[in-house]
Amino acid sequence: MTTVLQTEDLKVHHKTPRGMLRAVDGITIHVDAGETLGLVGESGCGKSTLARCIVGISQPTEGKLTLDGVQDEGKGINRFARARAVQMVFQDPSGALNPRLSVGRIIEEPLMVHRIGSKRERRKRVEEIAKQVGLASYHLKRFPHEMSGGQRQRVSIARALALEPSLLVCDEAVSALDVSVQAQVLNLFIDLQKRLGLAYLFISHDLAVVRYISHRIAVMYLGRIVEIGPAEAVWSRRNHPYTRALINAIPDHAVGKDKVELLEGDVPSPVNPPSGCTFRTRCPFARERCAAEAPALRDRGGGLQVACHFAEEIEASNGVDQTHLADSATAKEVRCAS
Amino acid sequence: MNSGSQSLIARLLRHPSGLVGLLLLLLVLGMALGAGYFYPSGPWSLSGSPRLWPGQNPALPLGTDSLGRDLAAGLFHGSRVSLAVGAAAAIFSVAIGTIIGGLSGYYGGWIDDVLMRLTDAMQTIPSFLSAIAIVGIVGPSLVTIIVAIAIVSWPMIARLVRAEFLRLRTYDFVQSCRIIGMSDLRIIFTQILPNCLAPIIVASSVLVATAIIVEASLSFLGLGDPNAMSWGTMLGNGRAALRTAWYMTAIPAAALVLTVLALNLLGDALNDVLNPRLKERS
Amino acid sequence: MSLTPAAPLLSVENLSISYGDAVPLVEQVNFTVRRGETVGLVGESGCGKSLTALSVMGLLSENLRTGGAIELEGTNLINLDQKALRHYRGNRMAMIFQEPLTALNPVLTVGAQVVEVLRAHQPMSKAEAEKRAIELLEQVRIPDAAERFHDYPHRLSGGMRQRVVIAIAIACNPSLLIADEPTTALDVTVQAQILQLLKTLQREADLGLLLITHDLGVVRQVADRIVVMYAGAVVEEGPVDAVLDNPRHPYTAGLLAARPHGSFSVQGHRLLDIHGAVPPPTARPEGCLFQPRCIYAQDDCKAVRPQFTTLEADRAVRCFHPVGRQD
Repeated sequence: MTTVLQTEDLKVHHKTPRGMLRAVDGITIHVDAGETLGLVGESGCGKSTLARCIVGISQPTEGKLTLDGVQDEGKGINRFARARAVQMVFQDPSGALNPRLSVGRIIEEPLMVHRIGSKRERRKRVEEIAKQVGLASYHLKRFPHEMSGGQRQRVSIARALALEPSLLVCDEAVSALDVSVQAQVLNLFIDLQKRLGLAYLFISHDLAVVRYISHRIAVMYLGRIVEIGPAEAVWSRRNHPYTRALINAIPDHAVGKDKVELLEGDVPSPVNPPSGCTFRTRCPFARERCAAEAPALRDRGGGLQVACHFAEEIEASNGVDQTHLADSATAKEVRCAS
Repeated sequence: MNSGSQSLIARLLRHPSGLVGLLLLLLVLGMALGAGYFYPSGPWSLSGSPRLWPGQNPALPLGTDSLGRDLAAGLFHGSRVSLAVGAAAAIFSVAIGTIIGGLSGYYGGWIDDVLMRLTDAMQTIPSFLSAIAIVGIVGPSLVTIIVAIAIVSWPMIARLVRAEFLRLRTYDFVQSCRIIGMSDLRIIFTQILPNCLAPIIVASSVLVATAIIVEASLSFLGLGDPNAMSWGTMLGNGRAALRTAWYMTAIPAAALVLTVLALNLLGDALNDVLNPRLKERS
Repeated sequence: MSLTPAAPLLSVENLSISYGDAVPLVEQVNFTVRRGETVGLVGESGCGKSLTALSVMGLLSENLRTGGAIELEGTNLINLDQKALRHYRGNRMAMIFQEPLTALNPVLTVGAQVVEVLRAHQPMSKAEAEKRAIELLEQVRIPDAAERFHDYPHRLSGGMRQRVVIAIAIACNPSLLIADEPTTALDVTVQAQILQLLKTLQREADLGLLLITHDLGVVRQVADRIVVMYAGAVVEEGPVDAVLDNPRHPYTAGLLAARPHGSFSVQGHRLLDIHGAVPPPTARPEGCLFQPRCIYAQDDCKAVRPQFTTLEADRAVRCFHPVGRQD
């Protein structure tokens, strides 16, 4: 199987008045052709910065990036080659489309930039792509503001597909949509993958969405991957306390209506991250070792990799009885009886 | 597009100040275009006895100045100068301001720092004084006056365009253009610029008005192009006879006020009509 | 006006909101909120849930017309003038918005903003108000409240800001709290904290809580009863668990089925989407509002708009052919 995206120890650091901001701090991931890698994390975890790096809007400070076999050795990848390898679908479907251009023109633009085909051939191709994403030809004459949110997101997807990239980076691509429309777009993503063999890097804060669409899931916290592996393994084994907290925080998935395990506090600043394990300040399982020593990703079997000193213990406690650990360690179980 | 450009004029006409501004401006434009037809001998020719009050001679409805030149002819021909100077200066400063502001806002970083310090430096110089200085050094001619006005007024446009570019460049559709491999220049001119035309157009209408006033002021001070009869020149000529024949100053002054008022009204109306954000969000 | 214990705190009857004469935005909305009860008002964007909330607060823009009755503790708010309404807002009812950053004044410290609200509604010395403000900040579980009192909003995280907004909302002991998407702008782990806080505060003060959200999961976790809105009308109402476990309106059922669940790569199932989009207020269909998107629609659905009818105790639905089990 070919690899369409490979990053090695990718870092994006920005200088800020308060110190170095480590938005992305050593990310090594790969996405195979036809595969979906889901990337979950809360705001400020660096997932969008990573996405911008991959599509070439911002430059990594360190590390290697290989797209479709073309490697970025610090000078950046030729913008045309990159555009044919990777495209992006954005969160806000209204901001992602130029309000002054017709839908047809928006989809045609990538072909024009790359000088693909004659005007007539391009028109034909645009109609084909539009059909593929579920837009009719009369939609092509419309303007973005004349369409609904779901239709606009289809336009965005069509534009991204025009250059036939092998990887689509979807940055919160369904987060701004209503549930009923979100399902339409998720189904569309799945259909397109089956038909075109597309690979997705699917970025979202919503673990339920990511679980549904992904083959593998990577969980990010403060610029690093804390857990990565096959979707179902990440979801059901919950080796990392952060993954576990994310799943428990999905309102419907809360262990019970009256018993919710809560994380304390907020994500610390990436300018001044905690020593050792960056998650330890919010972790219910944190011990002395966590402050001293940063855990590296290590194999947990079944393709699952976790960056936590106590992954075994946490996995063992899962599902059995969530209250059991509360009494040990510094865990806090907050009860919320109704 | 039918909700956009096609009905721009229609929407402008429905706007009260737009209608008034447009009509006044058309009147001035008509005067400029018809000057050669109505007064083929030009504004300088002596056509009657000096100091004729308006209405004294039906052939010279606005009277004559102290040398016997027809004031109406001056008004018509002067409108050419005023409009030409206003429009040319505005075009120049919009061009310079857009390029500098656009590059500054799009690229940011050191380019932005350098260009904005330059803009700051230009803005600290009192604009009218520097226009006087430039004209004084280079010598008065229409071209010098236009250039002088453009040089002192582009920073305003540059700041405006920079702010718009800073806002628009963060939009996903601009990012998306970079991702499809579009070149920076193409993004600047085909994607961002069309989206900030509205504020630029509004600002230019005010700019034209300012340029007309600056030209009039320069001519009033005797720094105008000696070969061009402008409203400012007429004002300057009438000044000496202000007590005895105030109409000599009042007539070009009224023309000036009405033109500037028309441009400001039009600017207001354009601001309301061209502001798409307010209407699209619903 | 005497209040019997069973009388609802808030009762919205036949509420309609329209833009001019021609464009009805919200039609025939009925629901009640009792003391100590949380009602989840749910629907997708454009369903009128936020307009309904704003109309209760008397915050609708002037060009919208309101009809029907909104009774808070027996007083019809629709007939009140702005001055009287101002008294009700803050003292009797308060609202929390989605975006905590814009709800706070960036140039005032959070403490000063709480103090301002306290002193605007109650005669209080500055020192008293400051003491009470710190208590309030502690009540919304802000750590080191006395220090945070002097912080400006931008120094706080999103979750902390929302806590401050909540502190301001409960400052004058309102009996009704309206929360419009209070956690939508927040991260999931912070969302869980805020939801829990709301629940606790509600229990402590016996508040009536009207929670507006698009997230059925949030409603399931926090609310006692649910009111589902679609295209400006209520389509289903009932106890949360009953409605979400056994939805009777095809739209509620569709919303539940459309939520991502499971894993496609393992189970290989498509999500059951609802085809089409919510009609804009200017183009609402004849007959049932949901009929063009409904897979169960029949001829009568296209002809007549169904009435909101009680099915069984505590449950009502606006549908000729309810789906699901008949309990």
